[in-house]
Amino acid sequence: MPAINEDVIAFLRSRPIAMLCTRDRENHPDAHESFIAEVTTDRVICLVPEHLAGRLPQNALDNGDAALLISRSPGDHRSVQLKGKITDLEQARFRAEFAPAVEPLLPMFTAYMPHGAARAMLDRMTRQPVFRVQLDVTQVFDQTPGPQAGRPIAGGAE
Amino acid sequence: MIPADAKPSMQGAFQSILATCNSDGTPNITSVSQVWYVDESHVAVSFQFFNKTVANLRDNPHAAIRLFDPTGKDHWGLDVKFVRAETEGTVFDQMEMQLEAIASMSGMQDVFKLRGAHIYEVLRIERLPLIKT
Repeated sequence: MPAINEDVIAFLRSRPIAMLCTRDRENHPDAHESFIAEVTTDRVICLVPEHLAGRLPQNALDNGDAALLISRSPGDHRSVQLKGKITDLEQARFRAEFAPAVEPLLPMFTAYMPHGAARAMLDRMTRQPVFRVQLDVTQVFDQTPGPQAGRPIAGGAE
Repeated sequence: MIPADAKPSMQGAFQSILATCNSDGTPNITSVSQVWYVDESHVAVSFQFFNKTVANLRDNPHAAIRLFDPTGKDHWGLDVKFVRAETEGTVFDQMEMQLEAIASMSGMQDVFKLRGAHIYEVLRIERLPLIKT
């Protein structure tokens, strides 16, 4: 059974900014802003700006354990958390090839944040070196605020 | 330790991010409505729903917080350590009042309810400019 169902895939594709969490060998977590570039039923490809990556390279190499949070906030606060393993990390470089996919998102971002901030959000994904992160997803959880927060959508109990 | 520049990020304009990890190494990440300035080396995080976060903190008190500056120019990255949960007192009361305002503005009055103020010691705080200079 695929880990990510069609409904969640559509949600991920509509909300490409996400926060990626990794951890070091002492189980100290770290969080990294990321941009979802590709989604399939069991895998997500994220871009993480190099200067915001923190301990991501070391953590990915050391253990690869990761969680990814996608939230529609401001808005209806729908949130989904994916868990799995980072199975590939390409070194940071400029990735202008993603610009055509990123630019059309500007109106969506300006709907809930100042234009300058939205512009900056897009620029940092296409005009700065970014890591390409492959996350193989094994668990999916509903993280929407409320009594159902933490409900597994796929892959096991929270 | 917490610079004055970081305080606007703790006014509830944007949700913040809280990352934890259990003892078997599985990370967990969630949005939080409030990160509240307590003193120069402590912040409080609103505890509303995150059962997994609470379970992780019992195993492992280390956590990471990301704050978003209201201007959209910066993030703040914090490495923190869970100290205690408060369910009454000045910090709790102030956070409860602010959370009611946040809930009202975001149409979440029936959902957002403060169950506790989780106090964390700030071990490290770093400004993360969103555009590399």
